[in-house]
Formats: sequence, C-alpha cells, structure tokens
Amino acid sequence: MTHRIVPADPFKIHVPDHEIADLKHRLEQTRFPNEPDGNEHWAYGTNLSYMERLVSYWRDDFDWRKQEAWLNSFPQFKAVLTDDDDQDHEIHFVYEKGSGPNPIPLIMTHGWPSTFREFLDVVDRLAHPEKYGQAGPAFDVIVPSLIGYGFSSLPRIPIGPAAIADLWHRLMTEVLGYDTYAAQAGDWGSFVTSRLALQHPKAVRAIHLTMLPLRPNMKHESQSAITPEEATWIKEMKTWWSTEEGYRVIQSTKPMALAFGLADSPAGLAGWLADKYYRLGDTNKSHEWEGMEARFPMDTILTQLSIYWFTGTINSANTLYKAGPEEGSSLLQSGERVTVPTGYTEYPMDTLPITPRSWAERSYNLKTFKVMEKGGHFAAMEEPELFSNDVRSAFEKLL
Amino acid sequence: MATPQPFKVEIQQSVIDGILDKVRSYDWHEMPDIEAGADRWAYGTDMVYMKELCAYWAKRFDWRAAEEKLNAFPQFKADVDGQEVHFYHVQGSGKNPQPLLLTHGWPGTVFEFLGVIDQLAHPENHGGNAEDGLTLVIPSLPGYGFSGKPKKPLGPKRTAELWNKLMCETLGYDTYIAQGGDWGSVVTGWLGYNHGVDKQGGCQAIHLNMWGLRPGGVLPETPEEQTWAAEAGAVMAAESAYLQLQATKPQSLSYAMMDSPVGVAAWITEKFNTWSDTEGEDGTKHIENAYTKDQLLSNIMIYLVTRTFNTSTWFYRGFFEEGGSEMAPGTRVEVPTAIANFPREFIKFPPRSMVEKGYNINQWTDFKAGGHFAALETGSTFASNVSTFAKQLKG
Repeated sequence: MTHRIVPADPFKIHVPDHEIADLKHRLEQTRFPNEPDGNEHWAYGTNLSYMERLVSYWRDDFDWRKQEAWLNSFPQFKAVLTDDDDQDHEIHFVYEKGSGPNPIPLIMTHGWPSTFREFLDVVDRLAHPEKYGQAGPAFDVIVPSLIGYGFSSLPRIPIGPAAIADLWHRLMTEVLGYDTYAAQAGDWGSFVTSRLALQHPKAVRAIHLTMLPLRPNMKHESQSAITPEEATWIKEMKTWWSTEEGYRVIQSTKPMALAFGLADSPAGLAGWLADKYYRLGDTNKSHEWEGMEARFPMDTILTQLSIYWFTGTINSANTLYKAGPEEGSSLLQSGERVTVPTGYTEYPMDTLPITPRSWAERSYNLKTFKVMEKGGHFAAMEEPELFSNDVRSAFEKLL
Repeated sequence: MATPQPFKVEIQQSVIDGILDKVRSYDWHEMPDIEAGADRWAYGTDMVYMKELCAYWAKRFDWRAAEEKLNAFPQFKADVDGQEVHFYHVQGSGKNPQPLLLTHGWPGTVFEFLGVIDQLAHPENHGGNAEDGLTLVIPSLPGYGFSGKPKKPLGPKRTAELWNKLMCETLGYDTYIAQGGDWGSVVTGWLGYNHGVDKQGGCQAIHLNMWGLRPGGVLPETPEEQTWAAEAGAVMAAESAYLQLQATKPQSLSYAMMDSPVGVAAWITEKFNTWSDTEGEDGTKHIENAYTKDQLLSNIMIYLVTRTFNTSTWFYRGFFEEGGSEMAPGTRVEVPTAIANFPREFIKFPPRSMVEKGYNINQWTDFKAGGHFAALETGSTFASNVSTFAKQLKG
C-alpha cells in the first residue's frame, strides 16, 4: 500500500432550508416560452409539455430531503489536493468498501450533464455482489464528483481531463492508499479515465468505458487506412452531430454567454439538460413525455438537476467543454495508444451508429467489445443490473 | 389587403416591474479567473460588465424614455399574408421621396435605425437637400419585437416575400430601395434576387452591410479570396455557436432565456461586444466605446417586454428549413447593389471579385470604423452612404 499522505474528511450533504425555499419560489415564478408547431418529438429542442410536467413536479411533489437522505446513505468524503499550478481542488467522492478480503479498487467517473448520482444505483451491486446473488469479484467503489461538478470545488481556472486524471491518480494513491486500481466511465468521465490510463499505466490495471473519447492520430505510419466500415460510421456520426452539437459548440466557445440564464432559472437549467437525457438516454421517443418519464423517473432526473442547482455548478460544469479542448488531450500523439487493457461496451443511443471495433482498436489496447441491446448514455442509471453485471464480467476478463 | 393600423409602444408598468424585480434580485455567481490585461470576454459575457450593466438597469435605466424614443416616429401594424407586421412609416421630405425599406437582424431590433431616420427622411435638417428625402419603412422581422409571433419558424426568404407585399400591396409603392445588415442583409438579398423590378417585384436596388445571400457554387479562386475564406472559416469556428444552437435546438435554450431577463441580456450583450467596433482612441477595447448602456438596454428590453427572444431565435431554424442562403448557380442579383463594408463586421465581405459573382455592384465603400450594427454604431456615416446611393440611382 502507498502511504496515505492526504486526509479525507467524512462529508454529508445538507442544503439549507432557505435554498430549498428559494428554489420553490423560483419554480413558482417560472415563465415558460411558447413552442413552435411540430415539437411533439423534441425536433426543436426540449418539449414544452414535458417541461410543464417537470417544473410542476419539482415545485409541488419533489422531496429533496428524501433524496438528500438517500444520497447521504452512501459514505462520502472530501479531500483537498493542490495541482501543479498551485490551484487547490476539494474533491468530493463516495467510497464504498467491497465485500471479502480482496476487493478491486474501482474509480468510476461521470460526465455531463450528470453527477456522481449516476453511479449510485450500481455502487452496492459492485461492492457487494453476493447480496445480489452474483459470483465474481467485489469492488471498492470510488465515485468522485468531477472538478467543477456537484460537491467538488469550482476551479478558479478551468482544468481539463488530463489535469483531472492526475488528481484522480492522487486521490487513489495519496488519499486512499492504493498502489493499483481499475477505472470505469462514460462521457467526460471516459476522457478522464482514458487520460488516467495514458498518464499512469503502471497504477491503472484496466479500464472499462461506455464511450470512446480519444482520437487516433491518423497521420502516423502505424495507422492503417480508414476502412469502408469506419468511413461510413464517421459520416453517419458527422450527420448526427450536425444537428445535435449546438450545446457542445456554445459550451466550448462561450460558456459565459449561456451561464447567466441557466444560473438564474431552474426551469432554464432543466430545459437545457433534459434535452440530453431525452436524446441520449434509451428513451422511447414516440410520445412527448411518456418515454422520457418511463426511462428517467421524475425523482431521478430531478435529483440530478437539483444537485446542479443547489451547488451552483452549471457554469463550471459547462466550462469543461472549453477547458477540455484547450488542453488538447483528446487527440493522441503520433504512435500513442492506451496500453492498459481496455474493455468497451456500447449502449444504444438515439440514432447513433455502432462504433466499428477496428476504430476502437486504433486508440486502445482493446480486450473486450460488447454491444448492448438496451441501456443508453446513462446506462448505470438506466439499466443498473445489466450495467453492473457487464462491468463485473468485463473486469473479470481484463484483470 | 387590410389597412395598416396606427400603433404606439405602451408597455404595462407591471411588465416593466416584473423584469426589473428579476434584475434586482439576480443572484451573482462565479466566473473563471481572468489574468490582468487579458480579454475579460474570453469565456463569453464578462461578469464584471454584466454587474455594472444590471446595476444601471435596476437603478437608472428609464424604459419610459426609451418608449418615448420608439414612439417619436409613426408606427403601424398590418396583416401581411397572415403575418402581423409592425413597422415605422416615415414620410420623406421633398416632392417625390423614394421609399427605402430598412431591415434589422438578430439580436437587433428596429431600435437600431431610430438614430438615422431623421437624416434619411429629412436631409434638409442635416445640411442636405429636402429633395433627397427618402420615405422610410422599417419593419420588425416576424417573431421580433412588436411584430406578431409566427406559429412555427420562418426564414428570410419567406420574409422577403412578405416585405415585397408590404411595400407594393399594403403600402402601394411601385418601386423601393431595400437596405439591411445581419438577417436584414439576407432578407434584402432575397428582395433583390426574387422581388427585383426585373422580376416583376418592386425592389429597384439594394444596399447591404453584411455578406448575406451568396452566389451558389462559387468557390474562392484568387489568393485574396482564399485568404478571406480561411479567415472567415476561423471566425465562424470561434463565433458560430449561437447560430448552430439557434438553428437546431432553439427550444432547449428558450426555457432559460424566457425565464431570465439577465440571461437574455448576457446572451445579447456578448454579441454587441464581439461584433462591434469597440476600440477606443487609446486603442483599448470596451463595449461602451460603441454603445451607451441606454442603447444596449433599450434594444434588450424590446426582446423582454414583447417576450420575443424565443421566436427571434426561430429565424435561424427557419433559414435552414427554407434551404439556406444560396442563389442558383450561375445567377445573381441583377438590381443595382451597394456594398457597405465596415471594418469590424465579423461576417466579412469577400473581395469584390467574389461579391460581383452574386451582385450587380454599383457602389462599394470601405469604411474606416464601425461594425455589425452599422446604423447604430456609425449613425450619420451610415445614413450618408445610403443617401448617396439613393441619390445616384435617381441619376
């Protein structure tokens, strides 16, 4: 074991009463937009009748204290780490120790527009498989809040996934005392996790991803020509992104043009984020709100939204889209590749085509590749049982 | 065709109070540290400036004074093909003033043109000749300001159709000159292209201060054209996010904007800062080198009091739905065209060699100062240029 040199303090969430009252007040005052004809299937963005239902539930029926108690049923901590630029970061994390004598340490990283809550439905399943009648390894589960997200601190100067990866390594070694560990993630978490594997290959034993963020440097001699299957996939992805990437482009160029409205209006925050859950979740899109609510029950999505709202982190969370590209950490250097054994599971999302395995292999030492029939971008929340069984079986093969 | 009805801006006090209450109670948040001397707008809207603007808004901005300015010229509303159109209609001096249609864009409003009305309509008040007066028609785009809200997005091509009807049928003019920047330049381009006098429309000439409607299939050829294309590409990569968002998912943005006056102000002010000539005499940049707070807030307040932020963004989606902004390959605008090239315009005109492929240019002016909101920024410089063009057309 590495010597623990940084302390972690136990942490419980407690949102003051006046902040809950302020949220309720704002929701009561909400002024909704009109909506163009033809938005039943969210073609112009977030649907109005869904939003009216969501805001009304948030205002009248949502019980934050109940959700807060549930969040607090997981052991949480905070630890302060100072980065190379002398910036302090207070890292919030859930830390559930696994059953048995030799659980595998596993750090799981969420993305945008999510929070650490995304993994809470699978913490117990991964830490204590015996409770669910599952054989196979148990994990010490560590779920941090990304820097600038949820209950972690807001950076004074935004940092990207490579810098966050170094903090995660120190969290696992200096704070928690592990020599080696495994990592799992999707979305922005998959950037952080890929960088973690690149930057700390001796400590990271294996990674499992539900998104493949790194891009191979196609100019390098080791890269073979794009296959016809890859070319088709790239073309389809570009088409999909051309109508979906508005949020990404604004957040990566001018997050502060957007921040003032999102920080002022809980309905505005919800409208901005709900579109992503609808689009990227494995939601039935044939009705204005039924499929969305079946996939993401009001209490579930509103816990996510409430974490953003109460922590005032929507601006710092969005700014990761600017800090990330500015760090230049998603394009691999010539000849660079993730050497750590990597597993990839693809969950169906909207109309996105399936990633060719050959594309994944260009950037990763790919050992497992699986395509699921259901799940979506927030698979740990959407299909907790399927997701946790898949993660466990992937690491059985990878380790 | 229904007769235009006179209109005055008269906003209920409760609407103003509701907006100001939200501005006053705005709960300020953080922004990333910016090093001393670095661009405070690097992440979007500068919070320090927003605090200053909102403090002024809450304590000193006088909507009734802005309203008085808006009501200083005759306004009307008319139904044009089912779309309610708000417009100024100012009779020009002289015996036979030629009609001039001025079209604003996003995130502008008719407010942009208030400062040039008198000079264009009544040149004798500004050292000119009354016989050069122009009769002005200044409409609010569909879904903008005091015009009606469409039920679904419509774009500049359709708007040009409405404008030609407004001019020729509702107002009964045989011919008119059209002028525009931003979306106004695209609408004006379509007026010249689809509704020119050569095509049985009423548009006899156009004056543009932005590169809007473009010739189809034209690629940069000369070294100058290629340099322009590379620079324009880089500008679009850094600046086009709002456009991509508004053209695809305006509704995802609308919940925040329609619920937050400060949110709208920040979204719009960022554009006025980035797209304008904000350089002062000492070489440093500040938004108030181009605009006063009263000007910025008057324009923003029009979006808020009419609750049209959302429908204004639909115009981007409507633009793509109606097929974008290209003329058929091998065709061009045949009516005489004036190009007003302001140096701080962010969507820059290509070199003249390329513009000529789309337009019958008979006036080209490179200005020394000014940006995207030329009428508001440069006032009389802009007005003189338009007047000169109109005079020249009379021969």
